Amino acid sequence: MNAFWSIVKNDFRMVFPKKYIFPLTSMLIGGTIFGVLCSLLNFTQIKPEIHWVYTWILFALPGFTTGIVMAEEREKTLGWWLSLPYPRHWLIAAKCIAMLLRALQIILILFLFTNFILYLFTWIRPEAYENIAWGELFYYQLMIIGERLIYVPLIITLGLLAGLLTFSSMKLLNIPIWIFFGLFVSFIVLRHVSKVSRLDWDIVNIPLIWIGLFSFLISLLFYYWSISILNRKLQI
Amino acid sequence: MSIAVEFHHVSYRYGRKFALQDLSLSIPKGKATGLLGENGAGKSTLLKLITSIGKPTLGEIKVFGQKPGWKVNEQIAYLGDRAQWYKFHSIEKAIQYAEKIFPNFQVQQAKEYLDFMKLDSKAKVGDLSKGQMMRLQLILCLSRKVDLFLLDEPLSGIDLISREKIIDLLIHLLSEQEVTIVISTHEIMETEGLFEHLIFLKEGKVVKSGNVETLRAREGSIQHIYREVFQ
Repeated sequence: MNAFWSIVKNDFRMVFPKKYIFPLTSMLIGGTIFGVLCSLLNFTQIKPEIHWVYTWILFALPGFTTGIVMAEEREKTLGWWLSLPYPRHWLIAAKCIAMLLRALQIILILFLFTNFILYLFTWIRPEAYENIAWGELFYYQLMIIGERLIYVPLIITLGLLAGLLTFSSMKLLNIPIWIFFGLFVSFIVLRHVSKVSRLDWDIVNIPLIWIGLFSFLISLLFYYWSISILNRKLQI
Repeated sequence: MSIAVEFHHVSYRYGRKFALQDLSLSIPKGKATGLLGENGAGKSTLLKLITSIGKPTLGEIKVFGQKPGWKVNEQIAYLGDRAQWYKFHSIEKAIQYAEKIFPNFQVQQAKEYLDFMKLDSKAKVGDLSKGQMMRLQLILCLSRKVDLFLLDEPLSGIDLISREKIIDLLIHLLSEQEVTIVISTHEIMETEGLFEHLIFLKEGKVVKSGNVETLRAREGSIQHIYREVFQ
């Protein structure tokens, strides 16, 4: 297992090599400070929607995950990676866990940063969030994060599968995979809009437990499909 | 003569193009085998099939009597064509990582090879020249205690000093241990002296193979045979 966690650690570093961490963090902090200043100085009447702080990750995750597969190609380490004397499901699981840990790390940073900002808002300009107490906003965010995490395994395995398909004889299957991704995230956003605006759309009003179950089963399908590509369909 | 790797009527296809066609060959155990051929002859594909990176479209492969797969890879150290190492590692970190992920990796051996290859362990992999990168990879590959080494074009496109160092290291390894080593190359001038067994590949097929001494006695120098086969 020591080897497995070493591979996870290495994959974790491959998601964002050190050189990208500084510009990305600067962009994040700069963007947030700009947003906060605009809101505090009342430049805009648009009320910032908190859920987007966490929802954007769902759009970015498949790209990041495809990225850690493509990074093996970019770093020219595919041969080393694929000839490792470990079962293929280890290699796939290591990348999934590395991506999940990175996603949790990003969520944690955003969570801490957002709550600091929200705390300032509820103190300096409470009407921006309809005088809602900071504690309530904190709880609301936990609900949002919990819901988004249900979708994360599906999105990570989808990104991984998409990355591996590019090295296989079934490259064209990437098209339906990305169409499915587009439909799935649209569904998540519509579901949120419907709930917030009380639109009561039947299609998006499916209970979370069913979506969670669906997400889990599709994640398993994508996971085993990725293993099967490594075992049988690679063309490199 | 005991056999390390056997191919029985193996074909491999990339899309519609066959990289290997009905190929049958044996790689002897405990010898240095040269896999010679021009670009696109199927040398890299053949090595990838041994390490189970690809599966043959047709035919059967046996590596030490077993089907290729991740378990057999424990006995194989493979260095791919144009391969590199993780650029965010330092050389020291690369050796530590190799120790963790490769069973039977010999750290002491790797350190000795580092001195031999004149590489600074503090250097960042991303800052290495092409030749230094190949030297490092060879160290990582040859420091594994395995039964079979597969080196795909280890001399391709690198500087003279690095080539000499790599050849010196291979000679050192071959004189110290009885290992099975397969080196694919078209640089026959420099590597000829390393090999005991040769396989000439052309358009995915074996066109000639055999013991180097026998081939030399029968047909002249290896360079002469190479020219005859590929011209």
